Amino acid sequence: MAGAQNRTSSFKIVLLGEGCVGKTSLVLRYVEDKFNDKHYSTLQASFLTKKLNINGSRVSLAIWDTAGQERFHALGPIYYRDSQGAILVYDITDEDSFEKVKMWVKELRKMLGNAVQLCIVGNKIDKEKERHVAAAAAEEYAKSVGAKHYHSSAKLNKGVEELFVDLSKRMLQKKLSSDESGSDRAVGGRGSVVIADDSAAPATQKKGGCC
Amino acid sequence: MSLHIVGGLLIKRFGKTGIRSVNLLRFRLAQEFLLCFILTKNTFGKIINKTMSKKPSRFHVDESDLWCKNQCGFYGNTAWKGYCSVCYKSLTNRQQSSSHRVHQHASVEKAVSQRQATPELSYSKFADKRRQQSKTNPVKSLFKSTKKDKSEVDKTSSKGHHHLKSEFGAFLESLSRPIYEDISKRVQNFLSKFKLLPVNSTVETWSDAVQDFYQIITEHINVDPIYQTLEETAVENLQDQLEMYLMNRLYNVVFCPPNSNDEQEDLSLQKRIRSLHWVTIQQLEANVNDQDIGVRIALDKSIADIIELDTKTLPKDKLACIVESSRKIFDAFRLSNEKSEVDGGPQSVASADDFLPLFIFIILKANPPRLKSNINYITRFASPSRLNSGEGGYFFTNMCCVVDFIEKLNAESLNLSEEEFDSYMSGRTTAEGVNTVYVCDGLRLIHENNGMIRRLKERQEKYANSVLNLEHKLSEFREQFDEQINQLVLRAPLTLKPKRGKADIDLDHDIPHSLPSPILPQQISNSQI
Repeated sequence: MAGAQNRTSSFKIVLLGEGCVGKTSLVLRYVEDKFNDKHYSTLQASFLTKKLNINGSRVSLAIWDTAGQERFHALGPIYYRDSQGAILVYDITDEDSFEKVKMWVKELRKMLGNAVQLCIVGNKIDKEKERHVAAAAAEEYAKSVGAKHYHSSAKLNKGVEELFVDLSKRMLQKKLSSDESGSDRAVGGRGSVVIADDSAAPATQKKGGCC
Repeated sequence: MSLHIVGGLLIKRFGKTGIRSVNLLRFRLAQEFLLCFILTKNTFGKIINKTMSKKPSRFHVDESDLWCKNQCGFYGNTAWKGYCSVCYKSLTNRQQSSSHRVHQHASVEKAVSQRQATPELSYSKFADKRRQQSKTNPVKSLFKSTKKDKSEVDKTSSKGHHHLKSEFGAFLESLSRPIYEDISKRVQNFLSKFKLLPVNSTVETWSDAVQDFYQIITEHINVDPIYQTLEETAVENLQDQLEMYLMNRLYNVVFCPPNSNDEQEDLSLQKRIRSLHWVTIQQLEANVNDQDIGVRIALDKSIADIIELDTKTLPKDKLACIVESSRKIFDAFRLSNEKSEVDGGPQSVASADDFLPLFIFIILKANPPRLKSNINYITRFASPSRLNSGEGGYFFTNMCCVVDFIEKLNAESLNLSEEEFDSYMSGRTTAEGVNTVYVCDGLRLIHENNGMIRRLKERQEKYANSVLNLEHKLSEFREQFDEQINQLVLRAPLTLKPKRGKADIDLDHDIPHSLPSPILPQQISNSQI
């Protein structure tokens, strides 16, 4: 056990959210601390890694971006399989994007159970005036599904760092508790690709499109 | 000729709308090109005709020479004395049974013929054979022979892996003595256990065995005190090497094994991708400018990389191919964006929203061989740490997504109506326009030039028509003019009056007598006053 603690814990985090809610900006702000910059050191924002040190334990995050277009909705399970954390982003000025988040939460709970730490993030709080999703309702919803709610603005660099650090802490905690009980081993292991066809059906009803 | 002149006049007249000189030049070039083409074709034809008319050269083989001597309709082969494989086999069999004397030479030839006969068989026969083989467990037979004929098979199997074996050995030797012994003992144990798996075990059993081994080793490394001195990177390296060694040993057995459906899945996926050849970048809404030459090169490279996937043996190398291919896609995005950003706005970083559609396109265009087998092989036998973390895992997951998307692709996922989708699938409609089709540059140029020639032809016809029209109008105008004049003439006829002579006052006329005589000056003398 002592050996295991010394080693880096690596976590897989999936980013889910409709197109244009600012997933890419959020993760680029966190990893590169830049917003709409001319010079990013990375060519792509689809797979990024970040190393952290939380209370002396080393953590390595692998952040997996997913395609947010409606037509790729059914592919979700392939992406978030075996992930320890999920960040579900919505745009506070766009109600549809919040509905989409609710759908993902259901799916994630169904597929991964409680092994995954959920974060619901209301992005673009710099556009508070155009808010369409009530903050209180969102918080309440997050509580009801056992997720944590955050507000962030990639543009103003608000709440981004906190979001990732908090998530890392929660994942670390989960890992330690499951290591002790040793029950989650099987879940964290391998698994075949499962595609939830039934989950794709309601996806077609909603019409997504902020752009 | 006159048409040309009239055309010239027309250009002068309708200067604004007329053919621009550039286009005219292009048209002339195209004409010359066509002329050259026709000429060369003719000359080549003549040359070919000449050579054909000569008596056949030495290496010329008549088609009838290639047929089987038995006239069974198949091709024969000199190795089988001019027979096809089947006829030759039956012939040799007959000879053997009649003479009952096994000729050394013939038996060797027979063996050769049997081995060479395999490609001649149709695929269904081949598949049957494989299925039959799968009933008699190939693993068992493979390992049985290992035991029986240890020295021989070991030689053949280790020959290929000799390099890696020594690499693995060298790596182990770099570790401390207890680790070296522990690991090699465990690996040997595992391999011998793997050989002893039941005859009719499924591929899942194999996969489970390998995965369990990875997990046991990982847990063991975490717990056993002899590993505590190792650095984190060294542990990772050790796991890496282990996986590489195992997969090298087992690849031939576990890749696309006969006790799975991999082969059928490969074929059906390949067919599916082929039937979707018409899907364009625009339909997938990939936001990239595929007309740019740099972007195209990047995409072509990406396709080449993904095709290479099948040639690699190790999961690690296979994943590297996928990552490389994905990087080229991001290159394509960068190039495409560089061109569109004129005033140096914010650099757009490609996200998964951009990447996935283009990756789908790449897979559709590449149609990588044995894709499904490769995916299954990696999911079954790669170490879990490789698949759950790291770039390789991410892009591999993306590839799984792409395959899933392609398999389930329907009209809705391309924003097409059912009818449109059906007509594309049945081949009734083909991708319209040159710009939507992904072809090599030369072909695209030909398409473009063809289109230009067609457009020019249309324009020329239009001009020819307007020339005729003008001619017609001119003659009409003339007739009208004539008619008007005639009418005028009728309305106001010209009456000619007799010509009057000119009056010349200086002329010496006879003074008319009616006139009084001119007053003569009178001279008044002074004396009278």
